[in-house]
Amino acid sequence: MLDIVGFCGLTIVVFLGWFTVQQKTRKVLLNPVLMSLLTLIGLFLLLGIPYSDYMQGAQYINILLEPAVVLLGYPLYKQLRLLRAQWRKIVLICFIAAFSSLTISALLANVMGLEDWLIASLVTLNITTAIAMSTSAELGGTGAITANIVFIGGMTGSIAGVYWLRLIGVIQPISDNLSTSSRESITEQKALGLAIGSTAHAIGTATIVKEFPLGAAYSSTALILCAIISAIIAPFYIPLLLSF
Amino acid sequence: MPTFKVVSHYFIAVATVTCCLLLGRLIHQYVAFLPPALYGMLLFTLVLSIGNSTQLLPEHLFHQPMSVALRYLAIVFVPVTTGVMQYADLILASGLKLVFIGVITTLSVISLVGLLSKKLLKEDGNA
Repeated sequence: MLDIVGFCGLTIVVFLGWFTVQQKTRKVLLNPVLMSLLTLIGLFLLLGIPYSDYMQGAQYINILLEPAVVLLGYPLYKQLRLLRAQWRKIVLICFIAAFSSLTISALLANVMGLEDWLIASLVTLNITTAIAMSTSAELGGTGAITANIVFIGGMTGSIAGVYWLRLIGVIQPISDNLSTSSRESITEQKALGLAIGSTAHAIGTATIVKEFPLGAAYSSTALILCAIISAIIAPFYIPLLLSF
Repeated sequence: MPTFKVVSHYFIAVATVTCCLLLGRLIHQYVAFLPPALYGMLLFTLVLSIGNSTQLLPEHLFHQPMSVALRYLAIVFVPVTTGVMQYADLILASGLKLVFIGVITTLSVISLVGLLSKKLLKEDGNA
């Protein structure tokens, strides 16, 4: 009982602490989950606490992983109106995004000689954590690796995504141009949102929400659609791809 | 009483999410096409759409509980991500490869989706 209260309490306190820090600083790298995991790992190594002891207490937080996926039905419902207008094109773009992310990551991992369980853990790197974990579990992956590699995808898109899209000419070099509501800039915000949402999921969406509000709406639509599409195709596609 | 109203909204939200998840698990037993929680998510979207259009479960009931839950949602990932400490050997041996795959895949997909979306969505300007 003490384990449960102690470890759940510790997790909550550490998370809320970093959550507050990020709210104040708005720095992408100070992501509360990333900082909490570094703090907890540091603490456990220092005090010699094995992960299994921690998990015995914190497993009660883990129970919430499945309801966390169900909750995403709310933003999906809110985005349905947005989807209705151009749903065919948006679904097609998200399908291509999910398909190419699975293909590129699986092929790269295969070429580098990684083991199958590790490939299964990493191919869902561009989809939102909760769905990435359940999808990679179906493929034979490990939740701890999946959740961390999802971070790498999220951080790459959040830190470099907007610069990269400017560099390759998807959005104009000066961000001020996007604040005008010309047809050009609306298309650019949509493209930016779909690109960030389909790769850097919730972390990326949170990063662009202030500068590109329309982009963020498209980003949250893309993050959910890509997750659903990946969850549907990955269990068939990945084993097939790796069998060649 | 406003407090009672707020509590009842949370209660309705928790009950709805739980029912959707349980039903999702049931469906998964017969049709294992999607993970149980994903069925639950789609059911939840369906319940919200039907509930709001029939006004049996209007959307405003869910507004506050959902914004609070989604705001702090990420905490549920802390215990499982901390599990990476069990894979210290793997991180030392293949950590750089994993980062390389993550960065290259993400930038490739961003480029593809960005360029493709700009081309495809161009014609119908302000949808």
